[in-house]
Amino acid sequence: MRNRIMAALLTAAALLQGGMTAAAQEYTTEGTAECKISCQVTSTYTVSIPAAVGLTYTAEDGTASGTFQVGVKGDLLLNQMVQVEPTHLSVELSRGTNGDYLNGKLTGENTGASLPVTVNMSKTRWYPGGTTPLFDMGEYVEISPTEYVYAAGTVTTWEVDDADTYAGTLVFTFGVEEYEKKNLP
Amino acid sequence: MEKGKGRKNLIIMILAVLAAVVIVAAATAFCMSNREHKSEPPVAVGHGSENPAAGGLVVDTRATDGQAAELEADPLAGRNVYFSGIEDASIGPETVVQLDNRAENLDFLLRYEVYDSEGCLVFETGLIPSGQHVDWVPGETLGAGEHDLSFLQIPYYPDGDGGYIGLTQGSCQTTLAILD
Repeated sequence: MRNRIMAALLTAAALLQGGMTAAAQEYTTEGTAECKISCQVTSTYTVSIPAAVGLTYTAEDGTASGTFQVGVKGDLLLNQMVQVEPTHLSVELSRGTNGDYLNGKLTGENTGASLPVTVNMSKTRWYPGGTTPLFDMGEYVEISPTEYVYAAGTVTTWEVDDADTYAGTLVFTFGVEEYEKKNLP
Repeated sequence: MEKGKGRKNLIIMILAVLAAVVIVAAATAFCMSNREHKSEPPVAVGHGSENPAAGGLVVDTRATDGQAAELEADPLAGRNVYFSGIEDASIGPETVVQLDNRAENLDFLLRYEVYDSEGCLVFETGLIPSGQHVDWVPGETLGAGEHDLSFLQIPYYPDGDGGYIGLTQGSCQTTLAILD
């Protein structure tokens, strides 16, 4: 009996790890010791992304460009970081150098013309302060549990040949990753 | 004799008080009238409906401040969409995952499409108003084991004419280990 209770408690502990919160626990002790558990997985961090990115046309070089701000807020473990990257702009973006994400495209609403686009976002990683990653993770942003900390990015089109209204859907992919760290002195 | 003199003084005093009241009333009316004239908006000659009372001068209907016009032209300017991040987790077969639309999103609606590592759609929701959520039990859809999932969050802005404008999307990458 005692072993069963211990086993049930260990199972409960295992189920409650990993960002879950217990919603309800019911114990039935008639005959055998059983432990019925239901859990909810809830969010521990939030990503803020512009609802839309407007581009401004520059007649001098014939291109259009716009800026955006991506923010992250959350409470992470010391060996965790949140990574946010632009991954699609109508089509899948390929990664270039210096924080460039290439080969997105916008489509002309009237002409159907395809307009290539480059998205630049040099800082894509948010991590808790007080630690330094052991590997080179490029530029990073220190995360806060109470307020959004932002990193900037740009969207730039190639030369616009056909006058039209161009639009596309921008997708940011995000997730938590673990990394090895070393403590600051 | 004394009585008649006193009555005369009383009449003079009453007349003086009445005169003072009339003067104060006239001065007040004059000030009010002057203030009304000063508070009339400046007018410009040109476009707009003519107001005969203004002597042929009309308010220019083209007049605007740039900021209001810009906001009216783009109701999404300066607005953000807020996405919930779901961390990797080990869950039981009955564990509920809350797919929410954060209250910060106000009038933005959000729907979810959940894909597995092969790009197959395993779960989707309808439009979720801000501050609400849809519960999903992955154990009812997926078998026991580890699953790499993409929670694609697709926000919309209602345009007021019954249509919806798609906004910037977020895709949360998560690994869920469903226990047996």
